[in-house]
Amino acid sequence: MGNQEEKEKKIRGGIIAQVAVLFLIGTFVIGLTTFFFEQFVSEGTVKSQLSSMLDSIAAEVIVTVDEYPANEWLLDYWYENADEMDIEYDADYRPGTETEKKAAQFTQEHPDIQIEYATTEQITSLSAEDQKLYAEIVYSWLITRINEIKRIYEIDFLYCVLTDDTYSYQYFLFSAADEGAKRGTEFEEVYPIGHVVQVDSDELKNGMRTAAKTDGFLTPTGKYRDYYKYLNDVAGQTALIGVSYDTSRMMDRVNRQTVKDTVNVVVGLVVLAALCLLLILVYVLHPLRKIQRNIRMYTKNKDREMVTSNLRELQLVNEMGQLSEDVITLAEEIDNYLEEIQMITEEKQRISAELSLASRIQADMLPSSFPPYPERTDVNLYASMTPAKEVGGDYYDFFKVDENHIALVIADVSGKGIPASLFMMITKIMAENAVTVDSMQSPAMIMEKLNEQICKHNKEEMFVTLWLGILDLKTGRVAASNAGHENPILKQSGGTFQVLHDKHGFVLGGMEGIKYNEYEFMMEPDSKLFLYTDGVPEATNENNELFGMDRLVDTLRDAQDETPEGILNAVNNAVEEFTGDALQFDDLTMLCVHYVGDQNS
Amino acid sequence: MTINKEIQDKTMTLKLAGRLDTTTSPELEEELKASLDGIEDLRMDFSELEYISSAGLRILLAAQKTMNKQGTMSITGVNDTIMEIFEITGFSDILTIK
Repeated sequence: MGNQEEKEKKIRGGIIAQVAVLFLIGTFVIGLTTFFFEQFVSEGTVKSQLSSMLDSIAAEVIVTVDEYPANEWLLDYWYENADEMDIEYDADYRPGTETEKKAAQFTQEHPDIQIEYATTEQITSLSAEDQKLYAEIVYSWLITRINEIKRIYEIDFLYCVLTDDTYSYQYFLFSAADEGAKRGTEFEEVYPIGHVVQVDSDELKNGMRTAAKTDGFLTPTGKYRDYYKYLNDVAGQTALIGVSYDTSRMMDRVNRQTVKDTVNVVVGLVVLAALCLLLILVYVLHPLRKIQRNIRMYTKNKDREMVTSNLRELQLVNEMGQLSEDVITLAEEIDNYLEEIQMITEEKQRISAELSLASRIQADMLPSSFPPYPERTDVNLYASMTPAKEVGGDYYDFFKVDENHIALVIADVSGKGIPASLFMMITKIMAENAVTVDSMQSPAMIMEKLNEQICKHNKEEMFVTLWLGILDLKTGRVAASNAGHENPILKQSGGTFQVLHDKHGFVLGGMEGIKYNEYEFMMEPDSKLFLYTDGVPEATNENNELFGMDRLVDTLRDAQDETPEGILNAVNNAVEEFTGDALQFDDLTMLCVHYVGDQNS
Repeated sequence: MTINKEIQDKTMTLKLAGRLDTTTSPELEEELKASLDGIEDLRMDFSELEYISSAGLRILLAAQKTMNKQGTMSITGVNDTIMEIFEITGFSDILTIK
């Protein structure tokens, strides 16, 4: 469980958070790009809009001036009589102003002349005093009208200047003022008529020249961007209409536009992102969590039917539906697999139980109470069988043939495990029967009979090596026959253990009609006979070395004065010490007889 | 263990190398089962064979029995260890060892 919690911690945040971070970064980048792009675009747009706006403002002023039929006379008059004129600035149509009074007076004196439509001829025919009155009235009216234009277009300055072809000065003829731009002669104030400003900037000079010669021109730099447009020639000078616009206000417009557009884009993206996240949540994350919950549930209690019905109920569509079907299939596979494993395990347990029972049965078949003849003082023997697997193909056997004869058998079936053990059991029973059926038979005859019997039921071509000896307890004479088995090792009284190179016949069960030899040897009183299977000399250590006959004989000699049990223990220990951690590969079977003989004779 | 097989007409030569024991003898058994048909002279070269167990002996015995019916079988190059095993088990009596 601890592991699972750790995993849980690692993915804290999950898909939504990861995607959200991606969206956030994307929104930021796109927002930033939009901002700079918009700024660039809107600056251009605003600039060209501004240029045409300022042009139309200038044009409107020009139209306003041109509407007076006597406009040329008026411009000249204003210029030439700037100092004498009694001007009321910024009267702005208020009732009771000086200009209204003047207009009323003029109309009363010259009812035939309409001030707005007075022609140059009509005016020049008037007295000098009335001409001045007329010029003052129209000047005031014009100021009022351009003040209005200035207010409507929210421009900074609107004026008319005169200059010559050096463009080195500006003579202010008329200009617009309002609350934001007061009359005065300081910089950024609205100059009265007759105010002259020196022009040093080449840019401004160029601008005026371009405007005078061709068309309107917008100065490209400066705090105020000035637009000039040609009005007329006045007293040998050029009259230009100037419109000034504060660039900081222009940039404000640009920025406002940019911010507005950027905010629109960002808000759009955020809404889109939120929508995407919502869709991911609904179509991916939510089903995924459900599937996850069911997987965990299955992991915990292996209830496949519940998980299947849970997942089917969800009726998931798209890949999530496929995933949940896959999970169901996986759970089915796991269930099948578990069932199989359980069956195999049960089968294994059954075989293991049967094998251990078989192992006990096999061991029980062999005489295993030692000493076997506690009442006898003339003979003692000890034997052991250690199969490499649960059951083995080796066996030892001994039994009384009659009161004075003991049969000794040691045998080794080819192969190992269950097949060998089955064959060994048959051989053991057949051998005992073959010996005991007639106590007068010779070992060779017994072997031949045994071989025929084994061959008769041996389609699998198993074979067994077997040594049989019949010991006469009275005399110590051993009549023996060897069917392909290892040489016995004999220690005569007073001597040491020596390998008995006896006459070998062919293995039992190998071929029908084989003839066997037999031979005899004497066991003197207090002599010992050691019988074994090839598992002993062929015990192998980790370096693949064999225990070998030399080590076996040496071990026997070292322990030659021990009881049979002591001798077997000594060999067992020596083999174990030699093989160390290497796996016991072959069955290990030994039998040792101590012929004490008749102590009374 | 490796098995080197050569068939010439009705003579088959098997050259064995390594150990012929419980784990390797099925290989030889398969080989013999597959190609012993029609062979009249089976020659086994043991000069590179190190060891033979009872499972190997079983295969040799089966081969010998088959060859008794259809021809001859002989073994060459038997080392001392294997010769001792042949002698102890009496196989030296039924095999033709050259």
